[in-house]
Amino acid sequence: MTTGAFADGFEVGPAVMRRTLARALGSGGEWGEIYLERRESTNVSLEEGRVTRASHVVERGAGVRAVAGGRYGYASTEDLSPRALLGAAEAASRVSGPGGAGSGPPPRSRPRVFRTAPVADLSPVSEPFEAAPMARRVDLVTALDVRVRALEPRVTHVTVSLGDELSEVAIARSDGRVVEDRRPRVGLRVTCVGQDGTRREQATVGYGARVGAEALSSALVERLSARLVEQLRALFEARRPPAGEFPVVLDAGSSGILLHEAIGHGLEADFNRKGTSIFAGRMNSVIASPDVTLIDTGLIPNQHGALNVDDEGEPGAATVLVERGVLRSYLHDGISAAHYGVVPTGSARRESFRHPPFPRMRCTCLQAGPRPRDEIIRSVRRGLLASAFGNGQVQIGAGDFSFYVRLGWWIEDGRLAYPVKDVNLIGNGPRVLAAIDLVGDDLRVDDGTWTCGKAGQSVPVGMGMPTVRVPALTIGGVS
Amino acid sequence: MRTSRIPASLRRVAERTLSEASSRGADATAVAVKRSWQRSVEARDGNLDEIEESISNTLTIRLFHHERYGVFQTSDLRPAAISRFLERAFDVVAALEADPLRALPGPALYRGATRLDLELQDPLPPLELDELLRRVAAIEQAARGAAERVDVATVASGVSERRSCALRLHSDGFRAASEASVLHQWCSVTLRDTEERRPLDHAVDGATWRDRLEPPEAVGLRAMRRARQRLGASSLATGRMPVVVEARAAVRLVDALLDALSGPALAQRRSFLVGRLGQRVASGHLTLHDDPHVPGGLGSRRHDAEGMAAHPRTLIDHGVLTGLLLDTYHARKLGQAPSSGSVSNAVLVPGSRDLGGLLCAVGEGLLVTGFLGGNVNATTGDFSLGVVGSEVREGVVSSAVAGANLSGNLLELFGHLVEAGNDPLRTSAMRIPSLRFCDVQVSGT
Repeated sequence: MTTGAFADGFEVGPAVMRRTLARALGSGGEWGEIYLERRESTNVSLEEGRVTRASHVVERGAGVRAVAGGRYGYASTEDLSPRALLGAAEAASRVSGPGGAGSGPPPRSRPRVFRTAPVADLSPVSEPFEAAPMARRVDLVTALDVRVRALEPRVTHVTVSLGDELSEVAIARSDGRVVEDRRPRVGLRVTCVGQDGTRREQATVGYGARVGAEALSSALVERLSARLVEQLRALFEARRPPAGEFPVVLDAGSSGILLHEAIGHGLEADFNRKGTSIFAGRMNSVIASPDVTLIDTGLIPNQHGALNVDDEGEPGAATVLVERGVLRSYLHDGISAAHYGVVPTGSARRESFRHPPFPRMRCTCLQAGPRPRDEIIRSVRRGLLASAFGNGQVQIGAGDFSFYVRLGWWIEDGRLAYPVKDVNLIGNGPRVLAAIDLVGDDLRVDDGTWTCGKAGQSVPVGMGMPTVRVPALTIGGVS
Repeated sequence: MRTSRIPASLRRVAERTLSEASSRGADATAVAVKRSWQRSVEARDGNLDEIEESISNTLTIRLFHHERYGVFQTSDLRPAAISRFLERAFDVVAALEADPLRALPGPALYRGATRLDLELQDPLPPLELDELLRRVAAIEQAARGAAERVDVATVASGVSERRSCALRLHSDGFRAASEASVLHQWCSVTLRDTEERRPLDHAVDGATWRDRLEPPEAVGLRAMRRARQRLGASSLATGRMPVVVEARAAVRLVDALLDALSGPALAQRRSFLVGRLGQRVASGHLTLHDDPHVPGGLGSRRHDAEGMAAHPRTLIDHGVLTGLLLDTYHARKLGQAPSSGSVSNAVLVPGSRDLGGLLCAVGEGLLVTGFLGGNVNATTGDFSLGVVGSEVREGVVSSAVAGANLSGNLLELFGHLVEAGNDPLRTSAMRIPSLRFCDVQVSGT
């Protein structure tokens, strides 16, 4: 989108930017930024074999932030006129006014000149959605419907939803750095309901990535349809597993939700700075078994959680959180990095211009270990193999987390005995991390439509994981 | 009807958009403009932490064109941008397949909206920043004052206020203006426990008018009491037992029932309540109303999202399913009368005893004060939900429980509902009391 002139598409010039930032920091703020965003998204959905509903959303606006003494004021507006931007700046500046953080030290910097910093494009797109005809989207969702029905006659209903979006952002910081970024994203969900006698089951698969319409291939249709139908067939056979504590094997890929909940959130630096995380004050100590090396990365090309530049204008990066069981870094934004005296980790993110940034995960991956998958399954006498996941949640202070298994297998004597479904798994993050005892050699980065919610803000994330064994988790089954 | 609060510029946006859509040949159009303003402050450990303020203006268009339908929304309200946006909207619907069931509700369904004052807009002006700061300080002070001897890691408190006004215009003559205000105050308390655990709990209060908020001190006090109850949590043995689900958590269970009553779920057979109208779906202790006319109710409304006049009705009557959540489209699809596609205020008819009375009736069992993750399979009704709560011993709250889970099927669970409490939430559109169930599957160690 860099067309030469700064923040071109927003019709906001450098002079207005300077005045806005000066006003935002006018009552003692130390630093801040203006975040301009235009996001355009299109969604089409199919039911009963026909694409009969679409939506299209355009959002355009700015957020102005002033930071003083680790506190912030934030104001957003959808009106980009100089008057509205100055009004937002005034509102944000109150964090350091009377009753606020007091008169802070003199501002570190005021932008005299804006310098545009280069931004790498990690998610190149060959066929941008904004130029793709609507028929391209309609054809894909129709093909999915046809293929799923052809593969499995017990399917009675198919719904497909395809959403694509492009977010264009420009960030102007009080230290004069300016970055511009284009962030494509596509999310595809296919759900089917099948009937077998009196039994009705529902299966769902998703695909999320930072790609263009080139990804809407027949190979994608084939892959998702096959996975969906395989899931439905297993669900028809599935039972509820027993209740209680059992060993659990987590399949490669979307099992990463365990890491996301059990440890990822607890390592977001804001929770530690505020003292609400169970990992507060444990830097450089052993928090997991030596088999655990955990990386959070925005650098995997076209991945759902890929980030060219973060929402404070820091370059995309990968962060080693845990190295062989030792806690090495939190995920930082500018406020927490200043608090801890470290460099930001490129993980400040926000849902949109309406929201201030916080430390967030990007794509959280456990590094592969030495064990073949079969060996890990064989090692379990009686337990659960968790394969397809729904949602998860954590209490970051107590460390207790849960995640929902839509489909898995019951293991008897090292063999997959029968499929199981609809079971919530509960554990305690630090205890589970310390207990992971077998790590597979089959790391897989999942390509689902994962989004992470925090403080009312939702952002796209990714996760990667090899097959892993946890000796004991509480299985929310039925006895 | 009062349209005074809608700025004239925004009203003109709505009127121009409606006429432009008609002149481009739309069969029918529904236009809504909404303006909202919000301010919130959050403090932590005696210091102001965050101030946020936002102004939002959005235009939403529901377009019906040649039996095709789309929903369009933009916050870019410059006249040229709106024209481009409309052009795009017509392009998008043109690519769809025809669906003759898509239509506006029509004048007959708009008529008969209540003329009662629903008390949705605070007559007082928004709270000043100073007052917000005073309240967050009072919340925290009250929380710390109730700490007794526990080790407090951190206390956060917040207050927010939102004001909005909206104008809706349909091409078949519907016109409605609305205004709303909502205030929230909250407190979250993190304590230090053994094993480096830092249990957290919180309290929330919300109302449409500031005079209906609790004193801020009550919120802080409740948060600290709740957090103290989280200390020393241990696991629970697996088994079947009586369970009381506290009002704020019971909302999630009732939500799952409501999801299964929605038109899209029923039409796609993604609902365990398909074909259950007129049948028993819960014990006789469950009566659930959709009441859009509760004065000051956070879900109260004169018209629903489609413009249909909102009327009180009963969804579940002494355990028998009597109503579905059908917008006009899904009603046509299912060959039934439309009601509304969503609930306004979900009012579960309360019983006579408070939470203490419910616990007393349980004797030995589990009190659920919150859910931790988990999910409900809407197609089958199977659920498995992580729980936060406490053991109940000899009819009173005993030690905190961690790592436990409830599972079963919602039909079975609501069949085991034996009592509703007298403590419905007033700070939410889900006016649900605490619920007592017998014989529930609990997983622990």
